[in-house]
Amino acid sequence: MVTLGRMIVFGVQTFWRNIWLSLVTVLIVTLNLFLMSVVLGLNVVGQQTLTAVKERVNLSVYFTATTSEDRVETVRQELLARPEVESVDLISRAERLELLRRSQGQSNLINAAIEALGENPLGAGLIVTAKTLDGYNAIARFLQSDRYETIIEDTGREFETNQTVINRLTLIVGRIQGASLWLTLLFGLIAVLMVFNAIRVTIYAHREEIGIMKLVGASDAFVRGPFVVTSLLYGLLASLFTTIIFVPILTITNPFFSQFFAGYDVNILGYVQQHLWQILGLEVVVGCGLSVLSSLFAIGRYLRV
Amino acid sequence: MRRPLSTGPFATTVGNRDESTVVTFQHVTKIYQKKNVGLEDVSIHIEPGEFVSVVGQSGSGKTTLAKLIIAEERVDKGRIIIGGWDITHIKHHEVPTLRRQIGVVFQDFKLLPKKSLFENVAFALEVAGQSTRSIRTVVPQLLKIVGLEQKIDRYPDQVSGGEQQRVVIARALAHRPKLLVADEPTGNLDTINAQEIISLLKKINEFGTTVVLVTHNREIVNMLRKRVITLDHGHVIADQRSGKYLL
Ligand SMILES: Nc1ncnc2c1ncn2[C@@H]1O[C@H](COP(=O)(O)OP(=O)(O)OP(=O)(O)O)[C@@H](O)[C@H]1O
Ligand SMILES: [Mg+2]
Repeated sequence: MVTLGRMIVFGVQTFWRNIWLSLVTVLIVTLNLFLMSVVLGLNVVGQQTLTAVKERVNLSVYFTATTSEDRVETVRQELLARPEVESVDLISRAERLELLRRSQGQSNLINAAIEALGENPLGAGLIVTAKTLDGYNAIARFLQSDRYETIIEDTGREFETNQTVINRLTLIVGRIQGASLWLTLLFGLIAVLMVFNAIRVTIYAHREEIGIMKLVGASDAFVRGPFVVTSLLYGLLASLFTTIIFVPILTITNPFFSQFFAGYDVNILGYVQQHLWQILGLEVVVGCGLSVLSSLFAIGRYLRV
Repeated sequence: MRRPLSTGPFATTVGNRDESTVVTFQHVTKIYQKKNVGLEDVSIHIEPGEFVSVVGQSGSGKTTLAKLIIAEERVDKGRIIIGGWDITHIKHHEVPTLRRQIGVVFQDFKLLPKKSLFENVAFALEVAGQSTRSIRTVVPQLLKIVGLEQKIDRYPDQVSGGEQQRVVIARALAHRPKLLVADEPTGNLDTINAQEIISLLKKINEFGTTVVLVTHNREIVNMLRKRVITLDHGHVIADQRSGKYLL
């Protein structure tokens, strides 16, 4: 108990009596925690964006005007039965007409044409959402089969263009996910190495003291303890600073992000506010863990006296 | 020539000469990397209460001898027994226990720069888990013995070299060691400060602590008129009861 107390006192003393070294170390740890947080944050934003984009992708099928509602409902049920289908929304003939009218605004051309026809020339539609992007290929192939040829309006071409868009999107999504994984690993590695090096420098600065402590009869644990405490202080302060820096930056940049992601379900500030404690906790765990492990590792060679 | 002493401070078994001595080297050889000879086939017995000067030219192995006593280096051949404890193959975790029983003084002082004089002396007691209360009473006493009770809160770089070395001696005495090893304690000091340190060591010796003094200083050795061990190229070439500086 006395020993533990002394280690804490010595650790805090080491921090204060080498305040410049301590501040520089805290700064370096802070920068790296910040770097890691930015990379992780971009990952979160990227994931949210991808999810949002994927939700927007769907496949529309339009039936000929003569296809009966029952027939449409059967196709809908068949689609729903397929494993890759997430949902199928029905657009009735009247709804389609309404949508068309609205999209044309005040133009009377359509109204006139429809009135001349005397009836609704549009068939019903189905909007299919797949569980994954890969699913659309299978759905398109299913709808292209011969038995639907007579009831579905020139869908062939539309499916094809859809398919290339989806294929391209799938590719991009895969590349982004791959790249962000490598980037995260790369920056994580850089950050770990920089923190380790910074701590190693502080231990190096104390190498003679460590030797003296050992010559005066200190056990390894008694030398290590205070440095663990000092490293904990580095980690704690750095994670605190990182969080403190992050909040104003996010507040300032949030309008920009909102504009950029207008219409999509991406809200960074909201996410951070919601997860503030988890984020701070993660920073503390990573910051302290990294500093303490680094110091334990770096100190070993100087204990052999 | 050597009379058996069974009442020494370290003595554990009566009648066994090796265990009644404070320091025993039996055919000790220490070879550094690249076949650098530190010590070769050195046998020494130092008895309780002795004041032994170790002299020799630079590179003759004096520091090696001091380092072997506090297990800062390990022997390649032979045996070392300190106060009845065979430390030839001492385990890493036992070394602190050994060092808490030996006072050590170095040429370059080795004070902790970021600790005050008080804290430096206290540190030797803190590592051994002594209570804060006893430390508060003992440390000022120790600093008083070496005449530094006025400068207790200063830092090492705020006092002179001679004063720093006296702090080191105070620290070395903290555990009331039976053995004090001083490796060129006066090497970085002028004559007056050196004399002061030597008389301090003599006083410590008079109170019963065995002192092993490594030195280059001819005047000091000749003035002491105590036992002198002379090393040359890692060998003991002379061991005189009341010796003179030979080389
Ligand atoms: N760590 C080491 N590695 C290799 N050789 C060493 C090492 N330490 C000492 N030596 C060699 O061992 C021999 C004895 O060295 P030692 O330090 O004991 O001499 P010394 O008598 O204390 O000399 P000085 O009076 O200069 O302090 C020397 O030849 C020295 O070069
Ligand atoms: Mg030497």
